[in-house]
Amino acid sequence: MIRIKQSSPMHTIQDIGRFGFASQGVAHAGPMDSIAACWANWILGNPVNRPFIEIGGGGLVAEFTKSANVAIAGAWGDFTLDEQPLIGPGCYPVNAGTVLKIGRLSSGLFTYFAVEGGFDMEPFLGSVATCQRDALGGVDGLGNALAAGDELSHETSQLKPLRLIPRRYLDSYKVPLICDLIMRNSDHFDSIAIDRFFNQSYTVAKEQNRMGYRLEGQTSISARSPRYSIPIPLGGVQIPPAGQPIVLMRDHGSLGGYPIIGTLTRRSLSLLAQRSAGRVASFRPIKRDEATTEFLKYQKFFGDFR
Amino acid sequence: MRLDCAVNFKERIEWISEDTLEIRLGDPVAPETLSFVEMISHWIDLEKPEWLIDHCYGFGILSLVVHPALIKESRLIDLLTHAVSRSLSGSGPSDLHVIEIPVCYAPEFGWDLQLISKTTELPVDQIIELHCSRDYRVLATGFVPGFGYLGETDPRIHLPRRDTPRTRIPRGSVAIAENQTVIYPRETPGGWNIIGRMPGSIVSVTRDSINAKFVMGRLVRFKSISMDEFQAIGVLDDPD
Repeated sequence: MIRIKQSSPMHTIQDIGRFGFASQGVAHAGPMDSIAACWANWILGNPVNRPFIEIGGGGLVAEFTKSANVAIAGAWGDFTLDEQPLIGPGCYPVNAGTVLKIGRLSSGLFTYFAVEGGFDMEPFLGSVATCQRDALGGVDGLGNALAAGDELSHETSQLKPLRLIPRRYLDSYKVPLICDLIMRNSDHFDSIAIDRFFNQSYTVAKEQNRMGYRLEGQTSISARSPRYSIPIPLGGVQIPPAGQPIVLMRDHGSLGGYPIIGTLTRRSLSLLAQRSAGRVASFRPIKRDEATTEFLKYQKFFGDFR
Repeated sequence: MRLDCAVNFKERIEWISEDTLEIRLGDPVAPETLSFVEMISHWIDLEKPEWLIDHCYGFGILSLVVHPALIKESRLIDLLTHAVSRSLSGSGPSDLHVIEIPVCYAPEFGWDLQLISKTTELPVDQIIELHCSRDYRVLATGFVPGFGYLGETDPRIHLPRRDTPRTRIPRGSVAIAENQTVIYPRETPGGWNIIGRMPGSIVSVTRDSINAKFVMGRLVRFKSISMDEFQAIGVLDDPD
């Protein structure tokens, strides 16, 4: 098993997410950066839905009580196995007694930590994904984050040689991000508002969590408020009365009352999730067909991708 | 109930992301719309189609999350049309079992009653009477597990949400805003006007299922109870 020695409230157990209960208000949860999370399971040869740890903001220390093949992917920084620095996202063989330290991050926000075979956990409503908002999933099933002292069991496996994720598949989390947006037909925005929305850049605000990221632009976007709440999609971009966008992340509520200008592609959403406060992003429209072609490539490669 | 048999789903569908599409079913408070939702939900529960990952309904819009590789839009339209026409012979929204919810409107629970009284120029007793005077339909479920949007309330007690949401609203709080009334299934932030509290709980979540009192399309009625009754029911009903 692995023993958690140091943790933070942004460290949670996740899997691909909790699907099938949205009509009853249950959030999908799942990884903030599903591309990096899928890579972690992929490089180990795991099925895409095996439970892993999402480490938000670094600061995790864990000790292995038996040998394991371990994948680390996503946000990167000062990471070590028994004080030996890790050289990049990939799969590492680890002996019993080894200590993994996920220290200070230099790029991105969410690091994914998986073991061969995945962590053994009991699903709640079909998933182990931790959702603090819904008090579901995680180590205790009640939506709590990982804590020092937690022990996670996993299967024993034959050690494999170190294998890195090919560099060409790795994205920078620092460069200004251009988010691809599938427009939503709506009479809540006029053409001036839409022009403004696409023709400025935004900084990621401090208000960012697993439910949504607030962005700040120079000029605010005006929108007519809808009378009723409607279903809101993952990656949907809401424009509340203040006129600054909110991008809806994995723990968003199923219904919302603010108008939605469009939806980020799943790839753009993963890349935005890795942007910490102060990073820059802008939007460009993309045809849904084009977005779906890209999405289906990910689905085919990883087995499933959401 | 008469329904338009030739529903043109093609005109009502919009893909809003790679794997999510919206179907506009019509006026959020019209009985026809609720019948459509019931028919399609019933069909989904029965068929459990493998291409469907999740679904969610809110005020005239049904949202489906699908495996885009497994379902073509034309096939989806055929299936939806079939689901709706096949159930045309069945019943509309089930009016038979009205869900009765006891509510204590005492000042300890009805935090905003005084303010509502001032705004609407109605005495508190009459606000309570108006709230209990009609049957409401569950117009949508969601937001958080167990949450139901009930409508429509008497126009005399329509008022906007509070300017600034409260950070903590106790579990079981009964509230109104615009033309609707709701119950908070557990302590959450919220911006609705609080008028009372129900004893016990409105939803239970187990390892495999969610058991919620409010089901789409069902009728709900509120009954005013005293503080003593509230405490008595609360003890019986509440496993916590």
